[in-house]
Amino acid sequence: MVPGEDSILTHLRRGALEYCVLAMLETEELYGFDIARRLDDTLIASEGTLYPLLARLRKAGLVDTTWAESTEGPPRRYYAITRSGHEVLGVFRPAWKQFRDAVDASLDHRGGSR
Amino acid sequence: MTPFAHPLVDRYLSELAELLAGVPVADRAETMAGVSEHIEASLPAGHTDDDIRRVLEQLGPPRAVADEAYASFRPLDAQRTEVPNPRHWMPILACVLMILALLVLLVIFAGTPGSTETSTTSSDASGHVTTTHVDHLDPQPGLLLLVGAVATGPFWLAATVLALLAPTWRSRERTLVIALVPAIILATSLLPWLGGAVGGVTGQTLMAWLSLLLMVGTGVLLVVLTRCALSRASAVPDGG
Repeated sequence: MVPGEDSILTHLRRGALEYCVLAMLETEELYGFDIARRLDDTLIASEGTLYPLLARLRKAGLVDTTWAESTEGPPRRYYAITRSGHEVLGVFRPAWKQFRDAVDASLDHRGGSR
Repeated sequence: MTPFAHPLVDRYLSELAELLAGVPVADRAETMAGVSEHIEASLPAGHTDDDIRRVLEQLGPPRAVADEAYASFRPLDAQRTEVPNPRHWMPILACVLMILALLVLLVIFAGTPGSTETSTTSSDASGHVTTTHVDHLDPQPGLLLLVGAVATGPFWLAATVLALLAPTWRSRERTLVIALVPAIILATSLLPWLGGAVGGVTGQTLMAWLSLLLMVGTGVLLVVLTRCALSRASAVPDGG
């Protein structure tokens, strides 16, 4: 990775990563560790940044956390999506598609819809 | 949070904790807990120093994690501020009702004569009729108290219920808001009577004016208390 790409990706991630995490929780509950491992490197450079993000999602009421007993040691945090989280995803998906298409069109020098 | 046995991890965690010093306590604790849990979950039973270094590298530098925690760009948080705050109408209505109660009291107070007039007519031996009018001080504290309490009662009760339900006032402020009107009713009923008993007409009149001033002052105080509480409530973002 060249240095410039890093900072570009950081900015791009800011907008989309939270929704990707929500989408991951759409069908199952996961430990934070599992989420970190499943996220593509492109989406998250430092796995640690997932935890402040999860805290933000929880504060916004988009995910719930429960404690699960773990055989390997102390109880661990399980993350689950909430109804609000589902709703937000329902809004994000079409918005993202529209955004992605518009960016693609610009980059490919295709005419816009205006 | 029990410290890890390993110095590398401890150093990572304490550096992260230091960088997170400016973050709200709850958020800091949550991030630290998540990261610690991640480290524990990542390390197999017989882990080596190299394993630890690898895990810490994948976590990323503490600065990156802290930066994320301080991230000012929060598109998801922005959605919450669109929800209108229904709580503010309660203290406002309570304040208005208390002021209405004060106005009712004012009307009653103004309408209660402070004295009654008695006339005695007498005639003397030569048929001369004289009528003497005497003003007796009659501030009627009991009547004022009763009528005042009954007339303001409904307003005050409704306002009290709202004040108790609204989370806006601090408990001492709330007690003051609720107690002010009954206190004023007592004051305006008793002060003129006491004034009259001690200082005659002058005393009663003075005390009557004082009661009036107190009523106005109470109204002002109620408004001030409500506005203070409301501006305090709007300064703090909802939830969190």
